[in-house]
Amino acid sequence: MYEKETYDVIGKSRPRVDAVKQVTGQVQYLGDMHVKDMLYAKAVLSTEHHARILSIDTAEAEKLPGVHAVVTAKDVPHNLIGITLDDTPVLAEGKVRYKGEMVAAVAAETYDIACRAAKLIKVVYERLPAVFDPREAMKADAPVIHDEMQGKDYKGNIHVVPATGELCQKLRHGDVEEGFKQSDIIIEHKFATCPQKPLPIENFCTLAAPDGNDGMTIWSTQQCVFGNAGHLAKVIQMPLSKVRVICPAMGGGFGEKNQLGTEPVTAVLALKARRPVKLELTTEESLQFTGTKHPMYFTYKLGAKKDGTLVAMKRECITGAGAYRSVAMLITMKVTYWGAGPYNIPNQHADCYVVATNKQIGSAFRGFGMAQPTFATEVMMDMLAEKLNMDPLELRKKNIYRDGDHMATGQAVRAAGIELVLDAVAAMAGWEKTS
Amino acid sequence: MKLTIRFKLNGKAVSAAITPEMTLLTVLKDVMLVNSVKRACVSGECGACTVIVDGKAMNACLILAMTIEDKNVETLENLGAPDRLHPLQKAFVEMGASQCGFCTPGFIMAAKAFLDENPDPTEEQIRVALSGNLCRCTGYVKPVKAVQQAIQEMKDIESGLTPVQAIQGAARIMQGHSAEELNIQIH
Ligand code: FES
Ligand code: FES
Repeated sequence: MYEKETYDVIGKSRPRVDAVKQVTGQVQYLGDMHVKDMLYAKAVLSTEHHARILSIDTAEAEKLPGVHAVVTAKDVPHNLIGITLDDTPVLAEGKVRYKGEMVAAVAAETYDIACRAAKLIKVVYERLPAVFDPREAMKADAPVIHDEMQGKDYKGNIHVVPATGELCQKLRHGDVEEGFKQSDIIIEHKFATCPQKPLPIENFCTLAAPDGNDGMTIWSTQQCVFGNAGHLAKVIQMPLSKVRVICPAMGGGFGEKNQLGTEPVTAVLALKARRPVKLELTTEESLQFTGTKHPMYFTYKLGAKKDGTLVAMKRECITGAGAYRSVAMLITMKVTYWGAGPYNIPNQHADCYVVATNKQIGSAFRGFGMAQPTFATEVMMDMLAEKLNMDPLELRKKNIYRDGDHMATGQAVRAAGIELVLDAVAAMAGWEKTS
Repeated sequence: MKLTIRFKLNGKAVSAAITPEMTLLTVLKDVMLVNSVKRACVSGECGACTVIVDGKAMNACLILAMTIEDKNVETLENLGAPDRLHPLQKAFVEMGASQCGFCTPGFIMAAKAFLDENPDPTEEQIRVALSGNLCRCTGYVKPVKAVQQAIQEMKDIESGLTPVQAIQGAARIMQGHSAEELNIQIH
């Protein structure tokens, strides 16, 4: 059934359909797009990690010849958006919560004029204490980042779980304390994962063009055009049927471009200028403005029998969400339910927190929440193998899901190919020879 | 202040109205509307804007446009077309050395300028020559292999093999696809 010879494509190397266009430079990415009457935009990013905005003076910028629109939060028809919580402003309002957050933007005849105008916008901040480590941010005396959303959505900097009203997402399976009692060996360890940048070579770029029919066409480097069309329609207060989002060729996204980036502010600029506007970030701006893989801090306890049979696993995860929630709750849900790896563990307990910090908004990035706990869980498995003086491959094979098993959530396992994969990887790596 | 500069773009004499602070990248992208050249870091870090100026690979984002007066600027548009790919272009296709393709024009231009001066480099030298070009998709192994395959093919053509034989030889190296399959025609 799994013989690759039976497939035309699987198991065979095929050229990309667009490869010839790519190597001859004919692919049109967004940065290569020009439309008639197009204006160039520049954004003003926050220079502070956490600050109150005392004033924004745009008068000088507006006076500069060639400038067609300057926008701040008050120009955004609907400023607060979000994927599971509307806590993210298109342009900062009242406060900035990370260095790199968009505060204002201009659209002008040329990119150079836009840059000069952006420099003329004067933002006065009152600096507030900032917090970067989610473990610090959980403490009672930490500076509170979302002071107006306390109660239902945030408790201090901890995100309240919408479905349960609790402070963490929980997994309970069997009796974990009883499991540790039955274990012959218990190991405990802490892990931290870093906030990697997706950083595709093509930066976020959007071209928004108002059309004659009270609508808007938005070309963007966007992995999630349909999902985000709804958010964009809300931002510019147009019916969804009037908003078209188009993604031409994309110069890499790696998850980062699942979320909205330059789209909302460009659409707002186009609305105000009544002309097509293009906003293309530089890499320097991207590094500050766009998200990172969520950093996570894990505390693990794993119990097993002498023969390697896993008995109990207790996990705590603290996810650094960055300044706004975005996908952090969904990412952490995956950590909660599936972070223990593809192993039968009859007694499990997990508490997973999402915590706001004064950093860029966490984003999807290759694995959507699975890379971080997998790293921690697999290191635990290696440590256990070493303690038991057992082959790490054998330890895994002893505990992996097979057809008919049930996950901690009760989900039945079907078509489990884990053993085939492990064997294939071991053969390719020459595992026998090394161990 | 507007000035006019004259230079050669892919062999053709052109002129452009510029302002003194404009870079070559701005001129190519926003004035001449050259499609293949890419704008990314704008600070000389990524190589996406690589073009060949008087035979040397350069980052267009680091060159003031005023300084290219009378010079010859080559972009990927000058190399080959879909129906007659340059060996480098063909090798990038066959080797899977472009994924999103955004870095690809810069890689190919950097490789072209390098091979023009060093037709028979070691792998190490290729890696050094491409070290100014960042790719977030491929992991670099394939672009380096593609350059090696292109070198082999250029040697084969030079040593008198017909292009078809040369392509068959190249295809053997990467056990991939026939030229027909890729819809590449040989002239
Ligand atoms: S855009 Fe010129 S090196 Fe990156
Ligand atoms: S192919 Fe995507 S950056 Fe190189």
